[in-house]
Amino acid sequence: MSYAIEIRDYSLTYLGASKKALKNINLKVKQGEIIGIVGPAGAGKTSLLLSLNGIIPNDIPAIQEGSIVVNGLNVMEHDVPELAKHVGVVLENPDIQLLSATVYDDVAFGPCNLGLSRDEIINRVEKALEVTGLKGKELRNPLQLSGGEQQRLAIACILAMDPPIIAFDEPLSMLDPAGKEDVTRFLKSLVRERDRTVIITESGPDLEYTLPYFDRLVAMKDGEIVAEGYPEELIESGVLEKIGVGEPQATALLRKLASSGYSVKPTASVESAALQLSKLLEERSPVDARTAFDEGETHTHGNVILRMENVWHVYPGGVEALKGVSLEVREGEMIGLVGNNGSGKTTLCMHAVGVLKPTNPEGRVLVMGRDTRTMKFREIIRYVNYVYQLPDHMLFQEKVEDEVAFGLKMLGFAPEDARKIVNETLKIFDLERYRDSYIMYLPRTVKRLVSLACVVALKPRLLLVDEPTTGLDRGMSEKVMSILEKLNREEGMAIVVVSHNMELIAKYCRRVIVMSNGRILADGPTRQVFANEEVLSRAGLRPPQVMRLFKAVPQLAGYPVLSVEEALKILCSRGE
Amino acid sequence: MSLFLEYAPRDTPYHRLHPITKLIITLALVILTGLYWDVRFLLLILVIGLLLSYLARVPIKWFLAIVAVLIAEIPLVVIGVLTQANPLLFKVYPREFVSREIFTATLPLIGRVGLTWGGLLWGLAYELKIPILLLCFYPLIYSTSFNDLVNSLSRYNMPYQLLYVLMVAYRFVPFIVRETTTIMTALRLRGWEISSKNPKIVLERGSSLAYTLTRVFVKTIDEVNIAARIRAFGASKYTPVRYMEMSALDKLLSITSLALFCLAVYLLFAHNIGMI
Repeated sequence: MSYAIEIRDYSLTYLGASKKALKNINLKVKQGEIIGIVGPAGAGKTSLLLSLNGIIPNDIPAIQEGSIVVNGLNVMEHDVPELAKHVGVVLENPDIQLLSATVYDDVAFGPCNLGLSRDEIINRVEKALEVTGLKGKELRNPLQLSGGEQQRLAIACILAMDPPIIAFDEPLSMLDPAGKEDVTRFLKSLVRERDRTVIITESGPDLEYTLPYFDRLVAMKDGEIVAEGYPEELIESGVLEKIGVGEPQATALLRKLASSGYSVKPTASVESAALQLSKLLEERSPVDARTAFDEGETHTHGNVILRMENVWHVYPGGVEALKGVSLEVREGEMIGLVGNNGSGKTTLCMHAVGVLKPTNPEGRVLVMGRDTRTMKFREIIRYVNYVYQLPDHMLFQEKVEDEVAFGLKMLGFAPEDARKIVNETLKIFDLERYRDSYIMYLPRTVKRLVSLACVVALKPRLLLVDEPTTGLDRGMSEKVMSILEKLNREEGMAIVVVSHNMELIAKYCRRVIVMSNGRILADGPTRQVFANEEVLSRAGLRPPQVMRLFKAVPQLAGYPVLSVEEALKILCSRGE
Repeated sequence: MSLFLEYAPRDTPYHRLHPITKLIITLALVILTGLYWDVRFLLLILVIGLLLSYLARVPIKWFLAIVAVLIAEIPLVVIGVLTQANPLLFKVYPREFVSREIFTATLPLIGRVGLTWGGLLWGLAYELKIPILLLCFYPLIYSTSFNDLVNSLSRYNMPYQLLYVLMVAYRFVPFIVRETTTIMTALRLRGWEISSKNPKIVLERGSSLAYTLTRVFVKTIDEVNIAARIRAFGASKYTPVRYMEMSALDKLLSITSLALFCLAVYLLFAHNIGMI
């Protein structure tokens, strides 16, 4: 039998690295198969993908052993442009893959390089635009599309080259919920066609979206394949949890119930999970939900740190990013700020730290009761600060210790005080062993912690964190959120988490603000906001999977659970 | 709305011109800006640049960058002006005139410095050159998509390696502009301020920005390179998706620009017209 991809005893060591990034990989992929490669950050998923089209070692130097045959071609004997005809790779971040000034030109760029006739190029471009739903946007600037549209454009660019194999590197990780839905819908149609071999990597947070489409799942950890099989088999075996990828909430809930002796079987499908729960609950009586819910959300908080009053912001060119936003943030609050891309979340954060000012004269942003228009920037950042989504934007020093000390030095802290704060901060973030490490060579997960640590060291009363878990696996995401929760609980630091990860928001935040189109659609206790489906859908969001699962079970529809733990409490207490 | 230094598809008289015509006009103006030292000639190019920018409807905010460059250059130009006193460098103006001092002063540590007429003329030209160079590129960048440029150049058998350099520049510049703004905001959020009376502190703080920008530059070049190669750039001869034929106006403007450019270069080298 001929395979689309045949990898034999493949190992990979990056130039200058002491250990192998991939170890003895053996994998065969049939023509038309949809393969999911799952593993935590650093498992080697991207390295494997970039080996398929020769980016490794042609552009990223590495020493290879073994062989990779793709569509009958030995990858090691061909250069990237040649291999691009056979394997299309869609990288994680769509932003950097878009090369042209218009959508049409970007899609045409690949086919133009393949020596095709002009008519064939036009045909392919038209088809790719049609399939990805980008018809009518041909003249748009790719950089001004939404995240979901950019990802679909990146896919269209590869589809137009018509490679028999397409590999997606975490295609959903950078997208907002609407974008995830958007791209998932498209992936579904791609899978239905069945005329291509598709490989999708996933580090965990978006498994609930992608899992239903896989024919086969390959689990990786530390550069090795640790398990391989049908998705249901791997889910049942619990291997995903073991390697640190985590499981969709429905799966995790059923696994925990099964281990408590209930007659259920872990599954990735919400429908199947709902059926099992419904059957399980047929003869049991309901309990009072109040016994299960942590009522921490009713806590009162301290003084107001930030107050926004009727804030409008219009960018040059006329884009209205904020339309009359008013809100208050108090000491000790842990808030989730959610909304689709372009809803105004970042603009709101930039107002909170004084980078932007309201464009309407009557609009006011007050930090500790003072209008930011009258405050010096250096004063504002002592009270309110912001952590960017991409750590690379905020790492300015060579070594970790210097990075954490940088802000303190800039703000004129005495060296002894600064040293003490740096030590404390490194301890909070478990970064002591990286103290003298060069930031450039650190893995993305550690860089994320450093970027948080260097702002936390300034001890702001309110910390705004933009997408703290993007690109991190489940384990690491939990670690980051736990640290933020600890800072909130023990230091009283108010925290606003801007995130598309509804599960984490539901689990850690006690208040949620929903934004859409520059306005606040809802602001209230997490349970109350997430139970309001109408508001969420207007903002292109959806509640955590466990909440949707409960809604799908008639006996549980009245229990708006926020986490697997809450769901377990409800289910295990029923009928006792 | 287009970002700074990014193409915007619009229907303006300059957008409608053939990319090669626009490239010829731009290169002619850029080369002459580099060669001319006479402020009058540089001002003439400035006027042409402004006229072309108007025809392309270049956004007003782009000109703020020119003002910023004009201001940023001042310290460098002042140093140059005060040290540019060699009359042998001047070809047109009499050496007695260019050596004549406008004022002199004695500075601590440095000693006596003076401003000569030659220094002033040189300084004015130097001050204008970089902003004019920037201005000359504006109409081309704003009105020509990279793909149209590549399509046109590939018809004239331009090697793909050269096209590649162009592509990286086109993609790279607006990206870096955005990244620089973000990084500077991130620095300010940590209490960073470039302004200080102590030059050592300015240098030290500037190095934080420079270090981060360099890292981002290198990373971006790598990423653009990978993105282009994934799309088979260089696999075969580039097939233009659109054939843009030169209109009579394009041909006329191209030939006129080339002719005027050759004449200007001849007058410059043979008769020092445009020199000081």
